[in-house]
Amino acid sequence: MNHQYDVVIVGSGLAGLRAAIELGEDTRTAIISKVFATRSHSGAAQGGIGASLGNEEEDHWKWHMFDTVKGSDYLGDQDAIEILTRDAPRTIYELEHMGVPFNRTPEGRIAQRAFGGHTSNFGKAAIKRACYAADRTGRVILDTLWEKCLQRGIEFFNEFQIMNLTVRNGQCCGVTAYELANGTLHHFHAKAVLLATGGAGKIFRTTSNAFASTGDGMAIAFRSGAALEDMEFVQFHPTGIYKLGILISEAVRGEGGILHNNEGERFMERYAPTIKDLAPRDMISRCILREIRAGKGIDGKDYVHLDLTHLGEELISSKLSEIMGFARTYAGVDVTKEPIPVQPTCHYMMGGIATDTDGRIMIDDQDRTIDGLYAAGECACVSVHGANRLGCNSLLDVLVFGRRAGRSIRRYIHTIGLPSLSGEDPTAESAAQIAALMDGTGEERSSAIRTEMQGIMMDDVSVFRNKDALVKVMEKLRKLKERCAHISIQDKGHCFNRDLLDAMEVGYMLDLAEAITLGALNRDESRGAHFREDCPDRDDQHWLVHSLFRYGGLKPPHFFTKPVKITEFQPQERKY
Amino acid sequence: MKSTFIIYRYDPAVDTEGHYQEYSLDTAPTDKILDCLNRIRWEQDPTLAYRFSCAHGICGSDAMVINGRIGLACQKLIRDFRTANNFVIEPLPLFNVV
Repeated sequence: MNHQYDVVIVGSGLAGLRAAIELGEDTRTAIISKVFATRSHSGAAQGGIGASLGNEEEDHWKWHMFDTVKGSDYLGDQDAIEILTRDAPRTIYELEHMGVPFNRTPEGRIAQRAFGGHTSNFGKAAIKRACYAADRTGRVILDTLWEKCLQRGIEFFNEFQIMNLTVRNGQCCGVTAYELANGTLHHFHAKAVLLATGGAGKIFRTTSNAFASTGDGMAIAFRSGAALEDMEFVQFHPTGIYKLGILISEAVRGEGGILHNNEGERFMERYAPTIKDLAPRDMISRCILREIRAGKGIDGKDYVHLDLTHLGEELISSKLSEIMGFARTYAGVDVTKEPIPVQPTCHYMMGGIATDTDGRIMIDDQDRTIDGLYAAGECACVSVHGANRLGCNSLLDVLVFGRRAGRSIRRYIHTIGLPSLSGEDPTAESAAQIAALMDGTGEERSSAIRTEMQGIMMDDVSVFRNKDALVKVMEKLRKLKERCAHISIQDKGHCFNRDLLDAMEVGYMLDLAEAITLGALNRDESRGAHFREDCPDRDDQHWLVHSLFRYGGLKPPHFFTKPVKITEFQPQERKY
Repeated sequence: MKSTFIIYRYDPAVDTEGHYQEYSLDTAPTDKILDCLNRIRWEQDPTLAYRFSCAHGICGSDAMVINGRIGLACQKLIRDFRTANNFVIEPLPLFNVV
């Protein structure tokens, strides 16, 4: 089935919805999503959205910029970080005007709370900068923006899995998607395509991410010639519920929660004397694992305690009620009386599709682009998060750069007509891919390959890495990719064929896993979330550069680099 | 512990009406119902299909009828049910079953 729109947005999370709103009512816009729009994983964001409103204490966007640069371990592009932090207060007021129900101070201003790595006066003390709606900030923003999209008549194609971009003569002019309900292939012919497909946490065994977070957009853009950037920087959030990986928001520590080892010691005091439990996520994740390695895990096991019993029931039930529910449901813990068992969980991809600050997708280090192809949100790498993202900067990122992508697409589509689709059926490639999977007679099952990949990545490419293991992981991933060619689909039907979807997803994830591992192997230094035990120091002389990856098909990706944009803050040692 | 899952199935391409299919699975008291369904799908019957995404009770995709009561499969654990080890899984009422 063929459709024509001005713009097609893939992904109905906050970046996609914000871009759609920016395109305006005179733009014919379709949003394709693999889940029903409000099921998007932006809705799982808990703690807050950062902006230097200064409602609780004095604050300046430059302090926020400095924190973000330092948090990124100086790998973030400072021109982009300036845009992000300067635009933050306007973004909050815009959400407020759209109807997002933020928590309030007693005076009626938007309330703010502390978050990891956010400080006053260039690192002097922790600061309250995160605006929040209890611990369901993402949920309320997602629902608000979704309603705005419905009001504007934006059309949603829910439960459509994208398969291929249509790129003709260096110009993107559409996307092919598979309708899960009945197996129909749809081609969306458009002047521009925005990828807003989110993260890929499902590459790792323990993750806070949704089942849908399989990096489809990143992998499809990669295969179509887009460059991926900084893929080795994968954030492990320090506080996932033991064994399950379900996120316990940093807001818990922002409100005063404390991490303890088996001796009851507040161990973060030793590692980050100034801001303690509010150190950035990469550092706390490493500290937790170091405690565990030193035999200081609780009961000799691989977790520590997150204690919020001293906060009192009233604060917990008003500001952290979701967390209270998670702990009760999944860990059987009453957080007003007992600590929560936590361990690091894969949470966020700092890397992604290389884009400029207007969402245009780059194919190389010379700022060459694919016309008509854009990306925003977690699937993109602008890069504002560099080697480590600060908490409450991702909701900000998706809204600021979702809007900017929408704005630049709006300008672009007025300069061109609908590109012609000469000759061949644009869905042919996707149809052939599906046929190959459906008719496959191999012995392999996608679930077995996925489980192996998740185990390998978790064991050797998560918080601590070393060269020897990474070399072996590259070989193992190569073998898994070969096995992918022999997957056969057991479900031969066309109605909600999850089996087929699983097979597609594992292929996407393996491509990304390979880029992550190659980046981790090549970057022989430690920076932000990337920590190499065999080279534990940061090496600005060689590695103050972004990693870039070009798709290699059956061969590993091609690796190259580009310089980091430094405007304001020269790299310093990163201590908290 | 062995648990039995009796699941309502309907495939419009081959079925004229819905029917119940029985699966048997080793479970732990802390397993989510969603974990169990996923394992049935991955290990026993890849044709099984149901909606799910976030897996921790935020997105709302996996609402279904579990032992006669509506709930999110990712929010209900084996130990939450007094039916010990028998689970009847059905689609939400008032929705079309495709």
